[in-house]
Amino acid sequence: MGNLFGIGLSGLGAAQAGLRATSNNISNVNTPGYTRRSAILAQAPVSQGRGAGVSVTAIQRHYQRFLSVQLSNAESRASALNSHLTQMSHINNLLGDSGAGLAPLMQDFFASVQTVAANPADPAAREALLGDAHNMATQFRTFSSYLADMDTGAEEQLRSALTQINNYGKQIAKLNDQITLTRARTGHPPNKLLDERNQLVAELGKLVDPEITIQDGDTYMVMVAGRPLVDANGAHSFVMTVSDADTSKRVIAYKTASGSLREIDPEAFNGGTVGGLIEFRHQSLQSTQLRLNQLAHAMAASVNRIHASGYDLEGETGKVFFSLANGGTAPPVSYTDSDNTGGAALGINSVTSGENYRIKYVGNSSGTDTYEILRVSDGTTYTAADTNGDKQIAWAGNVDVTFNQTPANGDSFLVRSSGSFSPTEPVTYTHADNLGNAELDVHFNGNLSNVVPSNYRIEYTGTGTDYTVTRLSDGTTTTHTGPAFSVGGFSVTVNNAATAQQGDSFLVKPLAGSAAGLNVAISDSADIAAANPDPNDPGTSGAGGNGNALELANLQNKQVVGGQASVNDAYAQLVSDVGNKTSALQVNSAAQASLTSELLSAEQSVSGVNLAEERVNLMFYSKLYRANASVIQTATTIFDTILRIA
Amino acid sequence: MRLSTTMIYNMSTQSILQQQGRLAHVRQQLASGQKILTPADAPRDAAQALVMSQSLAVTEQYAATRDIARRNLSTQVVELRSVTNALNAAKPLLVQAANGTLSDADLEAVATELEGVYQQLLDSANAKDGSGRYIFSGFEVNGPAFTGQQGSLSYSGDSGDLKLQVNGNRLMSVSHTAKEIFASVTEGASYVTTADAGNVLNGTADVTQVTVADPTDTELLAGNEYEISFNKIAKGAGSTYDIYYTIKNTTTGALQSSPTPVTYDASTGNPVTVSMGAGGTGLDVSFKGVPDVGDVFNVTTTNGGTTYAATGDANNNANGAAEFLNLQVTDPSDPAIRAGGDYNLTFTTVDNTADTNPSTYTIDYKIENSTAGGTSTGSIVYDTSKDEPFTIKMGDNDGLSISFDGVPDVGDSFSIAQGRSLGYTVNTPAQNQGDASLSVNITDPSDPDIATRDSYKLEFTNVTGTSITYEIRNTVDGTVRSSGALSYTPGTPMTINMGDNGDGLQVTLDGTPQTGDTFDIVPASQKHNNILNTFANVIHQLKAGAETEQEKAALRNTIDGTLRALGNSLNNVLTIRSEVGSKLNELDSLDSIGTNRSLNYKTTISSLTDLDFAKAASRYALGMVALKMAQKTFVDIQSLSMFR
Repeated sequence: MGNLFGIGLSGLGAAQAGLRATSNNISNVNTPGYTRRSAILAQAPVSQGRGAGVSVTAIQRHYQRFLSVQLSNAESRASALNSHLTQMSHINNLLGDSGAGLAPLMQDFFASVQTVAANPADPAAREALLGDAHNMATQFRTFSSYLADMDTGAEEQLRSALTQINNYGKQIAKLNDQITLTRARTGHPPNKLLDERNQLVAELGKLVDPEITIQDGDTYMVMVAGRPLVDANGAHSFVMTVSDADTSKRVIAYKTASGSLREIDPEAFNGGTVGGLIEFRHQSLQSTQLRLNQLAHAMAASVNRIHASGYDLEGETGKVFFSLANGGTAPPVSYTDSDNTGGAALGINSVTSGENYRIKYVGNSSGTDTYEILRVSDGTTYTAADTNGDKQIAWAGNVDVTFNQTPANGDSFLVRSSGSFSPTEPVTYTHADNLGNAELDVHFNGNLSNVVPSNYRIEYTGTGTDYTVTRLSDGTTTTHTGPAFSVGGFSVTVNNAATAQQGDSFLVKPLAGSAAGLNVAISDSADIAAANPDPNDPGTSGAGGNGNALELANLQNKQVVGGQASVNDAYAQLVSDVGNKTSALQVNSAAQASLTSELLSAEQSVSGVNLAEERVNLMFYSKLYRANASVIQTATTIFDTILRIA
Repeated sequence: MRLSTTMIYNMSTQSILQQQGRLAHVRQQLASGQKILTPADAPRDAAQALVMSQSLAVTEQYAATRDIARRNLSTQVVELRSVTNALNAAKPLLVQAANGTLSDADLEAVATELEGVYQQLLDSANAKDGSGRYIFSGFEVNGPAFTGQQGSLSYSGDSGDLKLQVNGNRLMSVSHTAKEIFASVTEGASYVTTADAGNVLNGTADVTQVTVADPTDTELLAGNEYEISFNKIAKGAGSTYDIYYTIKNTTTGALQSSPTPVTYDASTGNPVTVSMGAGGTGLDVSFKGVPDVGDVFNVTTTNGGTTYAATGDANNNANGAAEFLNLQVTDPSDPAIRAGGDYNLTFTTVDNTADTNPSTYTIDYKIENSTAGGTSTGSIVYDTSKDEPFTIKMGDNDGLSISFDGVPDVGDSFSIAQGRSLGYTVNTPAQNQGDASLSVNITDPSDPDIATRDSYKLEFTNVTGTSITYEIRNTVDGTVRSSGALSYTPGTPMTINMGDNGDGLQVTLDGTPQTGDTFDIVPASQKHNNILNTFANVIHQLKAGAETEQEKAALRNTIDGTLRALGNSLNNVLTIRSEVGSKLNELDSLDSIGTNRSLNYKTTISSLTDLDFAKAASRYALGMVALKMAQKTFVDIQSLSMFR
């Protein structure tokens, strides 16, 4: 008899548990990380073959780890793509307006040069050229500083992401402890804590690509970029620090147990916002910056070079048009004319400081190679004959050059005593861990067509004076014998080479700051060197001469950028590159989003709350409750009846 | 599949957001009219559009440059026209002054009018463009072209030649210096033709031997007679000539069929032999020298074929009489003529065989450009019966034509040399006593003295009645080149030759000199290096008047020289004008090419970047429908709740 009460009571309890789980589900319908619960009922232990009612064995979380991990990975990738795309879209939008980009300003500049070529003596045309040159230089600088801001912005975002990651790490470690403790104390799974921890891991997955391993059935071990963020000892942290190889950059480092910082290979971060930002910085932003710098460098260096060989309104030798970084202190360089048909280049043994010379090979007369030389400053001409056939010629006292091969007839060369015409000089970083005291002295060598949009790592091999040079844009390596060698359009001299130790390395950024440093050096429009020297009266020119301006205007058709593209073509390549990357990111990001959405709905189909279902459950458990109440009612009636009989 | 409520709402929201995003993109496209909003929309097209816009920009730069070129050239046309008018106006004035009947007052009046012309010329030479820069000063645009005193003006500009990039591959020179326009005062013909000394060496074939080689030949036995006629001569290698002939049996009238030509080498002079007879080898006739085409040898016998004799026809050697008639520069703008190329014309073949008409000759010739190198050949058909000269043209665009009369000899050659700078003029010192005036002609430009443009002084050392002795001194090396005596009839012009070879230069004396009179014969450019100074000189002399016969003669000399200089200067200006005109034409045609290109680029850019509104509008409409449907679905889902 009493048994009936017991059975009814157990039913009431079961209905209540069901109702509680359902109401909890309904109230948490919109809670992130919440997994649907349901009461698991079982028959109460049977005695003497008779049922003893129902018992609530557990409140079950509807959770599938496999789905959750898949979703977490997908979300991590999606958030990486998304953060990369967001950053990239800024550049894409900047280039979007064809009327405001660099192209029209470069076109304006060259149109002004043409106008000066047509009206060389007209001050208005000259002023217009200066104005357009300023506009173009300003646009280069603006563009460059915009990209630099993006870099700083990305760095800031990385910093705050790291703070979040470290926070999540701490919280997960704490939850690990609590979960172990609670389970030990109650024997029941602490569903709420498990949900919270899963939610933290999911959030962490949006920032990085964590690897989770479960230890002892309860504890989450979290690895980020191959380093433990959470392990048995608790949480560890990531911080931003100055790069050992490149002191101008901050990179992510891992704080080891001993408190020392260890730089982490950026490639180790694959997913999440952090992965996306790193991808953006290293793949997209840097290549855009390098291409822009290459363009600015090629533009300025080639304009300077032509401009400096002309004559201005006062009949003076042209100055540099765009300002130089070195102020004329770099070692002498030689330029090979772009119209040369032969492959000869020349090396400078010595040259009078402050003087530039134009050398022309005029052919072989009765067995002797003969060269005509013009001193640009005053038009003095010299003739030099290579009488002993060693391809070395000297003139004007102490000027002395050597050709590597006999030039083709009419080929000409320019020797400049005070460095190249490049607007900036390469920047060199000595690795912080270097053991020796070797230092690099790096200067552009005037070979413009070898300048490619890349940075270089130079590493001492440890054998002889050999250095391995890695072009970082594509990873190609070459070996050069020091202490002086040329690569990528610049020449390197290793000072204190004897102290170098194997593995000592240097980072050379040849183009760093080219666009940012692009400035028009001349302020007086009369200084625009439009004229060529008067052939009949060397060293002078009339105000109406336009030969040099014509050459300048022709520059827009010359392949000066990396020896492969005109300035406009190079800009078009840059735009197309950014456009392609953005477009690919858009497509990938959309695909990843739909994949994530698929996985989310799969995960939600297990763990998500469906209100209709819960409504049914609610009705079902109410009925259950009422039915069990009826059982008790019935028991009471029976009990009363018996009492009445008695 | 089980769906969670959050998912249901999420999916609806997602699809609404997606539709809104798409719609916003189309709306932005519609608002801007651009297909490509950012490079990511179509990276390849965006880059292509940039490249095209660069091409367009360059094309438009060239168009702007062409406008400037046109402006420069048009300014020059105006000034050149004014120069032409001035020179044309001066001509009748000079002619009037030259006739010797004008009084001093009249001469003064002419001088005053010429002053006007002079001023007009000087104004044009020192003309400025709209921006105040001198247009004929080369690159020295801030200073006038001619500076100095009247009569001794000198060119102060430089030789700068403003070249403009008027098209991708056309660098057009759009300036002329005053030096080119005004200083080109020469008084000779622009080209001189001379027959080479060795000409007419042909037509001199002589029979050296007649041999009966085969007395048994049936024709010889019959006593037949022959006629050898030469119908084609072609110049072979070296000094050899291929001589084509026919042999006619005059007794039977039969022609020996196409005998092979014989080759005569003029350098060895070895006789060549032709054979005839029934077997073709009965009779040999040897001759040396190159016959003329049309020459005939008659082979006759007086004793019935036992011995033969051959004699040249009386009309032989009629050729080699090609006479140079006329040389004309028909197109001064012809590049080769402008460059002053010299030519050598050689006749290589004279052929009378091909045609049925015996008076028709096919003449092959070879033209060598001895300045720039290069050889061209040509052929003309000349009909002697028509009595018309034949013309041979040369130059890049046939700018020079030479006509000849008569059939030339093979090997005859003519050199055609630029005579432009070879002009000579005569200076008459004021202290001359006589009334003699001189005119000068170059007869041999290759004369070493003339080639080096030496100056001469002609002095009449003794004039007694009609007997005159003179001395010609080369003033450059100071040597007396020649001296002589001549008998002079007043009123009849006399000629005196001078030059290293004694025949390079010929002066014609008019009027009677007095003992001690001298004349300076100098290259034109040494005298007055520009037409302005020439005018200043004649104005000066006109103002001074001409009282005595001597003064009149001197004035006449000056006016003669001025007229020649004026003629040449006018030719020069007209040549430059026509060059400027043709450049303006070229600019026009480049303009139309440029406009076409621009249009092409614009079309391409438009097709790359401009929006197809019809397509976009339909995409917009579709997007609207999709958005509405998404929203409606959302509303419907919302209403589907069990909690009501």
